[in-house]
Amino acid sequence: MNARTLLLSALALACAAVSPALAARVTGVVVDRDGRPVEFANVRVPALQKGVITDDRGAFTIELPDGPCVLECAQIGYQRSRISLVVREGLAPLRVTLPDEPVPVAEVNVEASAFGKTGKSEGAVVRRADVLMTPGGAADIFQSLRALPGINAPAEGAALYVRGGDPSETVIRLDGAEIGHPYHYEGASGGLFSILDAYMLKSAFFSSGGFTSKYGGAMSGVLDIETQDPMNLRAVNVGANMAGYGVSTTWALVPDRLSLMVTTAKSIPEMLLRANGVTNDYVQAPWSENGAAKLLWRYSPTGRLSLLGIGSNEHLAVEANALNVKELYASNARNGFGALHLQDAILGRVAVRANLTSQAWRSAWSFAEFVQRTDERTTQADVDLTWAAGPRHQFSGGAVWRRRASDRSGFAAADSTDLASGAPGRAYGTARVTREPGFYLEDKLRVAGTLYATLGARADLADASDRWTVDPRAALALLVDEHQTLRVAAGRYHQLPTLTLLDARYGNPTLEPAYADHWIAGYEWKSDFGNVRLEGYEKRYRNLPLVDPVTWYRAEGTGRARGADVFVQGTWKQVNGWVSYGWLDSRRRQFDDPEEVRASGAVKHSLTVVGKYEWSGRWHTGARWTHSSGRPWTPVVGAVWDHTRGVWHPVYGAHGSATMPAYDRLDVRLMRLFSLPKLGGLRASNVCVAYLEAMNVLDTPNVLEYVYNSNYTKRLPEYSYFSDRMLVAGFGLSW
Amino acid sequence: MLRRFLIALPLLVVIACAVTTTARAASPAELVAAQRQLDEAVTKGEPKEILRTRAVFAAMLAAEPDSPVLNYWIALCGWRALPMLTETDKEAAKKLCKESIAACDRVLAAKPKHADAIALKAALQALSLAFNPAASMSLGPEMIEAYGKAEALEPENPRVQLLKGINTLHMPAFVGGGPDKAKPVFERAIALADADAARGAGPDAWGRADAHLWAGICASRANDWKTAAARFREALAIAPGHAWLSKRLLPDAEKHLAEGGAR
Repeated sequence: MNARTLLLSALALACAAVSPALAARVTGVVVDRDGRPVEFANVRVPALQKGVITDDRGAFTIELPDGPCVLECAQIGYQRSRISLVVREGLAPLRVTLPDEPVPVAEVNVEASAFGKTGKSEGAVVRRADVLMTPGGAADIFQSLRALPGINAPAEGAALYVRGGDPSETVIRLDGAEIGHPYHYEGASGGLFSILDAYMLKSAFFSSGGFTSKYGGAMSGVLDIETQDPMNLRAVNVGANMAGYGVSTTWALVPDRLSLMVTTAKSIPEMLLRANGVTNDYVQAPWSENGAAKLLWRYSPTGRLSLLGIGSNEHLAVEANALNVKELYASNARNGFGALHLQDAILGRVAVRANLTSQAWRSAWSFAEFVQRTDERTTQADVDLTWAAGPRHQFSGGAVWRRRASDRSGFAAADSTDLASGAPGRAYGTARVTREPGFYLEDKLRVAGTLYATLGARADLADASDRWTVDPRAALALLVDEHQTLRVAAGRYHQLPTLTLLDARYGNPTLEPAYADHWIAGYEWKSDFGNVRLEGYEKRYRNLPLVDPVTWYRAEGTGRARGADVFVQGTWKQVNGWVSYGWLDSRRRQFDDPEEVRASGAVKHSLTVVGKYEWSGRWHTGARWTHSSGRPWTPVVGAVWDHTRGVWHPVYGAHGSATMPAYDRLDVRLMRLFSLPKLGGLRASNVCVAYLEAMNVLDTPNVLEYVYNSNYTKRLPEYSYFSDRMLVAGFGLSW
Repeated sequence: MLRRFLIALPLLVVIACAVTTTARAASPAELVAAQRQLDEAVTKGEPKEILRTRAVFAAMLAAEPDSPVLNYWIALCGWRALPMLTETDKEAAKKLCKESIAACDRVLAAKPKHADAIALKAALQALSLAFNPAASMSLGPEMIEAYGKAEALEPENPRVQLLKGINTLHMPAFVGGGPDKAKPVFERAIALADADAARGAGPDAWGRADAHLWAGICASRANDWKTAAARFREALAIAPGHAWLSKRLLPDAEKHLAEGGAR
């Protein structure tokens, strides 16, 4: 055999390999579950790289070589179907049934009590637009969230009181990393507004209970905020109103690769107060500032690395009255937060998110002769992995390691009922450091048909008591049809004690973490026009901290919260809005409560009605009405004269035995959208906005707290910050 | 003998592989036929026919699963069918929109600087707002950014101008949209498409009739019915028998013209 013969043989062999000697015509029909033909479905044999489509009757014909092969049928809206067959002449026509494509696990919102961006069953979505457009929300994420069910706000602060839990029981995350003290003026109702600029916000997931194992360290709620990540945008925004101003920008330094986002804002409400003729006792008008910068690097089609820094600062000095002592109350706080964030996909299947964060928060206040300084530092590393293992399962897991350190020192009254000049006092100082690792695993799965579940558990080390806590959690969602979903959820939620309670001298260094057990059941109906949610819940608290004469604190407090939330959201032509109602019955025994009493943040009825109307593309108007029944408080029922000190000491009634008057507020907003033309070297603007907002239109005097006359025989109301009608005008320009 | 066979073996494998690939990939003729089929389906104004053509492109993917060309045409079929499908079957339209955007993403994964795919993806995102209007605040700037990027990559691409023009036309005037702003964009699309046609561009250079058609719609929105009718006639000359043009757009424009004349 010479070379020529060999080459010819090779060519002949090659041709033989390509063109099968025996080709059979395989025919068949593709039908759906009800036997109806599926037209234009793709029928292919991937191994042979051959494909055809079905005709109007679902029929197909494909030429295949004799022998075994795998036939694949696919069409949008149906599950892909594979059948193995042995092709031979005379093969009977095939009948391939394509089942309806189930909603992918990743798209189902199994969690109860959740308002989020993801999921086919999503209800209200908290996006930047919602934050900016909600009347009375002051373009603040926390103020806007107050309009959602599950948040029983006892006053007009921005802090999140979730289903009876105080703000410390809700964990707040930013791009997956935990952030503490994200409020300005925490002394006022737990915080008046956020240190996060709404411009940074992309979306937010909010849960008022029953959340999954991913979230640890919170007994009541979760707010998981995603910041924007534009890669090609070059925009500048300037905004100002009577209470402050801000500038923000997003700048693609290297398009598609490197981008920078910067925001700064300063709040000076003095002009707002003066313009509205509001009298106040400010010695120094309050001011606050916050800024953020995010450098985002897309190093591969799937990988992003970002460096985020947030800083805030605030000052306040006001004449205040506490227990008949009218003195200067001054406070200041500084917050610094830095996060290195990585997200990528391993092998294109496993999504990875990792964070390395560090936060330092310092605050100080003084009143009369008393002062307190707090210094908190938190360092955290965490990683989350999500693996979509197929249409039925999505596995998640993650680990966290956190170091918390707190130093608190000051000079406090020896007798909490005597703050007058010369009152005996004591200097104190607490310091504690903890190191707390934790991890979780969960599976979001399609159980059968349209029944979906999330099953998981997390474990966290309570460093103080050197004990691992284990929290099993489960949620079920049944998609009854395309409009209706039933959900149930249950789980255990541990929360580690605050560090001041763990102090070696003034606390219990081995204090056990508290926990709550959640049970939730809900129904949701949604369509293109609206969304209705009904939910009932019950929470049982255990190991709440109680004051102890020997150990300072012991973890034996108990409590419960039960309630129902109703949320109705709708859109009709140019009108949209929602009604949110919450009923809550919450009782707790914690700290010095002698028995279970109504929890301090427990507002029995909360109703919010939000309506927005779009007059034209340019003009928008909206209103928000909030009504809350009064929150519990502890009244002074008498007084005892102290001859030695020459002061009256108040005598308190039973804990939480009185109720504040109901809270009512109506806010109205008028907004006009416009654009500015190209001017000189300045390009034409993007959407700009001018607005006029009337806060507390009805001039309702809402009571914030009570003060007393010198012998506690007369009670005088102190009204809330927005008890006078106020007009705010402002604008936002964008290029 | 054995030595010769060992020398020939790699050659055999190379030849076999080469012949296999060539034989099974979609031929240019098949691709052109499918592109023409899509043109005909669009002319007929039949969403079902457009979906049939989409399936033809999808079938070709069996031979070239990652083909940017095929994925682009699959996405384009989606863009063509979506406005009609949204009116009759919103749920199916939603799924088609999602799949079409995914097809664009596959193109861009392979060719990140594919100007046509960048613009088409933005156009599909605009159509997705029909299912999720609340996303307009975040998608709006993203779309404008995408058109800018596509234009920077291929300033002479008529399809980028066409899709940008459609987007501009649908944007409210106070954010820089409306007929006045869209008109020059469509005029540029027409000039570029006509120039392409004069150079003898193939069926993959779609969009010439669309440029004239949308320039007509743009004129009608500005109540310039004379220009609108002229543009529609030009479009009909390029795509004779175009159902939307011949049954709806042109008669409407002529009716307005007649009414205007009567007054």
